[in-house]
Amino acid sequence: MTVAGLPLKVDRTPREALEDAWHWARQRLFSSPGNVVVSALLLAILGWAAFSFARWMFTDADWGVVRANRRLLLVGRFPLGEEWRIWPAVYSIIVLLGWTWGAWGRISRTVAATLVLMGALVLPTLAGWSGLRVVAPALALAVLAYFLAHRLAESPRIRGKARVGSVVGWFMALPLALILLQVRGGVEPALWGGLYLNFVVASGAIIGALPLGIGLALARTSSFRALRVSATVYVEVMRGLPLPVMLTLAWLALRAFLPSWGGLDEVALVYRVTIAFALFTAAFIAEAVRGGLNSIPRGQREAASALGLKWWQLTAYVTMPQAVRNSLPALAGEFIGLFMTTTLIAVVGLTDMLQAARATTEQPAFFGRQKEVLLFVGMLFWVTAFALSRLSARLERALAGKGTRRV
Amino acid sequence: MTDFTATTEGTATPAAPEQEPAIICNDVHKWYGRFHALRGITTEIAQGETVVVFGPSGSAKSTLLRCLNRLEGHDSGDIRIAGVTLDHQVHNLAAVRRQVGMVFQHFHLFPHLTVRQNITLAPQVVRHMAKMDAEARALHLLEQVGIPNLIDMYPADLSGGQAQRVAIARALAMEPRVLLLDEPTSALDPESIRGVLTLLGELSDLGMTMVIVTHEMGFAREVADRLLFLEEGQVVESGPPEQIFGDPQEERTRRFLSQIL
Repeated sequence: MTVAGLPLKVDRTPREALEDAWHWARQRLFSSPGNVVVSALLLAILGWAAFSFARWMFTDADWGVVRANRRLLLVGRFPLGEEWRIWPAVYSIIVLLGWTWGAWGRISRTVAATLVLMGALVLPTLAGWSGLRVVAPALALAVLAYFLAHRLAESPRIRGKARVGSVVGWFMALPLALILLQVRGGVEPALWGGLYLNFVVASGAIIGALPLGIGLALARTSSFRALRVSATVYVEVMRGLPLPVMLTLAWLALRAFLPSWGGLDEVALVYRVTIAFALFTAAFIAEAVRGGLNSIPRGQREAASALGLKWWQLTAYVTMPQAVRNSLPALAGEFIGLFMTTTLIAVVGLTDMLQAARATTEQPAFFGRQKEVLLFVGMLFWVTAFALSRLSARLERALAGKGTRRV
Repeated sequence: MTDFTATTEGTATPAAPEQEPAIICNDVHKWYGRFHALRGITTEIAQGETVVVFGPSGSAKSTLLRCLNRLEGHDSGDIRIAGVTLDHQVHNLAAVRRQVGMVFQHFHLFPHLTVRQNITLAPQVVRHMAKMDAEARALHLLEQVGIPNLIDMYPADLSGGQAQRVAIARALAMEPRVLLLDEPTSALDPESIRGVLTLLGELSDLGMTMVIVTHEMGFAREVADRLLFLEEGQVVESGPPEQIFGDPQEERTRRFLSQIL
């Protein structure tokens, strides 16, 4: 194993690790007088920046604003006493995360350490003691699910089932969340808010956009001209529209276009916005998947048709799995981007986490505390995006078709 | 040597009388735009016959092979293969693909599937074979081609020779009546070439109908029942190896053989 071109032992004692680090620094940072000066200067600037940030974070900053508003940030104006509608979804997401990670590979030490560190920074403020009592079992379950799935995935026979289970689980999580929000009286969608709303909109949009995007990609590579043209038109129109325009259309104009069957025009704003996101994201997913399809050598299709596979069979078993694998980095990028852009739903008057954060700064008790709230919200988004990105890197590796010899 | 063609279930044999040739080409033409690739190919290949197609590059050897299972459509003339006429009818195409296996120069294994899945995919999906039966057959075929221990490997982990053996097993898993091989050893190192050629020789001895495009003339001499010399999209000469190598009738055949031998 090498890091930055230097040979490294995988299992090092702390002493060896320190020696390696010193060796590395000598070679890379202090190899000549000029390098010594530049390195020292840069290290000083970096150190000073880190120090002043840490000093602000731990002494000047008042995290009380986050603590006092954590409910607002997490669920917006969700009615008190209705939290039971949310916890099962939170639980299933946390546990699924562990399961997925275990089923598709293992978590690297760096990533695990980063997540634990960020969790330790964020969770106590975010959840408070009462929240921690509820979250802690979920985290423990997630760790358990990780090890269990990892163990199961060691056998090639069960691996496939464990992986399919994780995917099905993710596709079930959102319907579960939505059902819980509606049953037994329900909470009206206008009251959904905070980070939970970001999650609901983002995952709804992903679940809608993925099949639509794959369908569009197939249509664009189809030999039927009409299909190809309509898919191209769709993609170009969607990509050309700024998202806020789409959202505003979904807000104001959709009921002017849509027929009113079955109360379709009465659909709650949250759903309409989610559909707008899905329609929008599908165009980008289509392009990513089309790139993946185009990267598959012609021989794959020929070999499959020579074996007698029909178009849909060779698509489902041969080309699409490879296309999705090839476009996974781009898809992960789209999903992370989508999650970030769900903050735009404030445009149509919904209270997502970012909007809730803005609202807190108008509370007289916390004037001038935007920094803390925004930093905190930023950290939450960052952790989510980071976990998503690392997880997708794992998926990519698991799907790379490298086999038993290299596991 | 055990039986490669052992079936695990009754093969749906089309209504082809035993004496009918496996492949009949009658004045087959093929154009790529304005380029006239195949210029009136007429030949018959009997069941159980092993035919080697050879000729200079650009002589449309591969095109001919790819027309035989309609990876490319021909533009005029008739091709009748394993009792089915190749035309635009979809069910004929499906029937032909079931009867005709193909092995490619660059293997074209499915990289996201293990060796086992590569071999069992088509029997399960196309022939609706039960998974257990398909896997038992895959193992049997891998034993025949000499690499049963690689069943859970991914193609990326195989050498060229191993990959080509898997590709041959994959084609045989569909129990084809005709096997088309497009330069099956051209991408292999000398050592693997010998192994794969030996395997093809065994298949030939077992009575598999094969059409092989290859430059391995030693192999052709030993294994082929008949050789087809193609040049510029035409069959220049066709005959048993003794004739082609010992006493070629055509000047062009003689010239080409003197260049490569």
